[in-house]
Amino acid sequence: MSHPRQTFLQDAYTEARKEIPRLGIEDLIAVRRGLADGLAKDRSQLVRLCQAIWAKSPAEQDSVKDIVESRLPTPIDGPTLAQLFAAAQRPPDSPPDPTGTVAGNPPITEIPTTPESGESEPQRRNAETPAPPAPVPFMEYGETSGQAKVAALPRVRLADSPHRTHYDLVGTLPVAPRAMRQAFRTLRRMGRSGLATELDIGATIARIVRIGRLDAPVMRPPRRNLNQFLVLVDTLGSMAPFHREIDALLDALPSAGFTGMVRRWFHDIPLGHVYKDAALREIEPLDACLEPFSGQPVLVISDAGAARGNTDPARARQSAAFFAKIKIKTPLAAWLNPVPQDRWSHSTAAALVRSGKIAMQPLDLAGLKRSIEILRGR
Amino acid sequence: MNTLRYSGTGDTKSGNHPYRADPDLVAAVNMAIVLQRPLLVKGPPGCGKTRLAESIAQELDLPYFEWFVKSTSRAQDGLYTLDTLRRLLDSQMGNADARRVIPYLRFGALGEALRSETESVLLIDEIDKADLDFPNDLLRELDRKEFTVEEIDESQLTADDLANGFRRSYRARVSPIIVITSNDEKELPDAFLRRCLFHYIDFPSPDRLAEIVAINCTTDQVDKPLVAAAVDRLVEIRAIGGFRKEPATSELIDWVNILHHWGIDVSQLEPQLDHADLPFWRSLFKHQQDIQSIARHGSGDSR
Repeated sequence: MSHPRQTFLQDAYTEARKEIPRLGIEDLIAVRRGLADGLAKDRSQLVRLCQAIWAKSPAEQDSVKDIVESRLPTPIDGPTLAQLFAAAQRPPDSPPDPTGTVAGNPPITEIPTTPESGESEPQRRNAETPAPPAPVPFMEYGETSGQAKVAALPRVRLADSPHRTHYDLVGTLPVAPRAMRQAFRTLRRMGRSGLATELDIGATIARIVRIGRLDAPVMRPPRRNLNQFLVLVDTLGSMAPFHREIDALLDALPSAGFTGMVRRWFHDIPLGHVYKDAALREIEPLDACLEPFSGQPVLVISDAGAARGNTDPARARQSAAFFAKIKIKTPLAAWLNPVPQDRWSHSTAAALVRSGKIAMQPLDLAGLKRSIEILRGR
Repeated sequence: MNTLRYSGTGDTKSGNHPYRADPDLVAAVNMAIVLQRPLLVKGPPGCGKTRLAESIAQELDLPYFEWFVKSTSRAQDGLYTLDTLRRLLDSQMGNADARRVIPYLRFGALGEALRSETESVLLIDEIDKADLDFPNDLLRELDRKEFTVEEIDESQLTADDLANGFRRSYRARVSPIIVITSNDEKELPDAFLRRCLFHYIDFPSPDRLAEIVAINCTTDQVDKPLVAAAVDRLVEIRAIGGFRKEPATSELIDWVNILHHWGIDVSQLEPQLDHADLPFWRSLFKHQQDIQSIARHGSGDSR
């Protein structure tokens, strides 16, 4: 009885899950089923199959391609590969392939083709023992008795695999863009507005009851997201290192489908005016900017002096006054600080938090969700 | 197991039709057929997402249903709609039909595809246009290929109704081939994405562009050198970049049709010419600012 091992497919799947957290066990099972159904007869087709099932955007497609190619054993010759895939296609309990032993290679491996084996695998993987010396069975999908048997390949070490073609040198954002988009989606206030295009059945029936007959149907406007959203972004100077997160956040906003979304920029403190563009050229008075957002969510993104690391009482006062001005207009106001929370101490930001005047949140997933809760009015 | 296979070569049982798919797309379609999952197709505008489903239906000679999603679409409408207003009016007139639900029942594209006796092809176009909950409302139907008409009371169904194929619950006998397109304007929910296979249609290479144009020209055989020159000029123009809307496949086809109609000679599409001197070049663009930027680019350009 051969020991269960991580196969290249499982390795690739585990690696892909780190980059694409959405993947579930059904995605691995689907690839196996695809192999069994003969959808991948060579290396590039296998890559395509994994891409189609696991990736849902061009960027994810590139990642999946790199991961699978780096995990596939290095040049296997055509006939052996075709044979292995042929073995995967055979149903269980069929007799072993008569050409199964290739070049007199020892230990025969069992390759199940049913999805059930995939489900019990996570448990079996826990009972794994460490790698024995070469040659070891390589193409293993787990064990069930009476499966089709095929010759094993020599084990390939990951160090011998071809290099990945793309390296992420920039690093990851504190909040994944998908998570940002999904968080902003919850910032909805559904209500009926616009042209009356929907039939209001209840009101129509009430009208019939009142009048005694139907003369005209009663219409109502459709439901939509009524939220308008104002984002005030601190830029340049101490905010320069955070522009990637801020850009990702601003990119995530339109996907939430607001009826009106406005972005304005300022530097350090908006003293009475903000700017319509990120380069700080076109001025707009702060009052005029806040005017249409009475009762609507307003989000401020600024480090509040935390990046500088000192406490500046003047800046603290002005920031508090600025936020108070917003809160007069609307109670749904939140402040996001891209500097990590453990760096706030002894800075202006800490002073502001201590004074209780501003409910400042750090720019990580929990902080983002809390700010959105504030913006929803909870 | 499903034995249908798509080849994407544009051959059909009913005569040639203008759609060619590249090998990756063909593989993706066949994966979707075998695995019985919907295929989510994304790509730049004008790359042929919407016409894919029709081409599959024509090549495999299957019934074709299409559902063009609007911002006001509800998932329910794709399954079925009940004409409640007419039923109300009929009941006032004393029409006996109004007692029953069936006469007012209309099935939408997805409902028809799931009711179909044979395999069929369903297109759900621009799913990201609808409300954010729309894809989630379709999960059960896409997963288990079944739906229920809640308003029907089983005791009301007569033998005639049953003979005509009306039921309370429908389950697809054979899984339809579902192609879903998205313009990537809104993020689609994870639960929905997991049920779909995904393919991104890249902008075609110049050779494929020439093939696509040759098939699509509405008049008879267009001059091959003319097509090749037009494709090359288009690729150059696209390389300039910075457009609000880049000229894509459909604009190229329109342009070649115009050039062919007016008998433009291939010498008028020489590489040395400024883009702004090419005949009918404005037909490639949909925004005034793009036209202006080409005009400016041309006048200041030194080759």
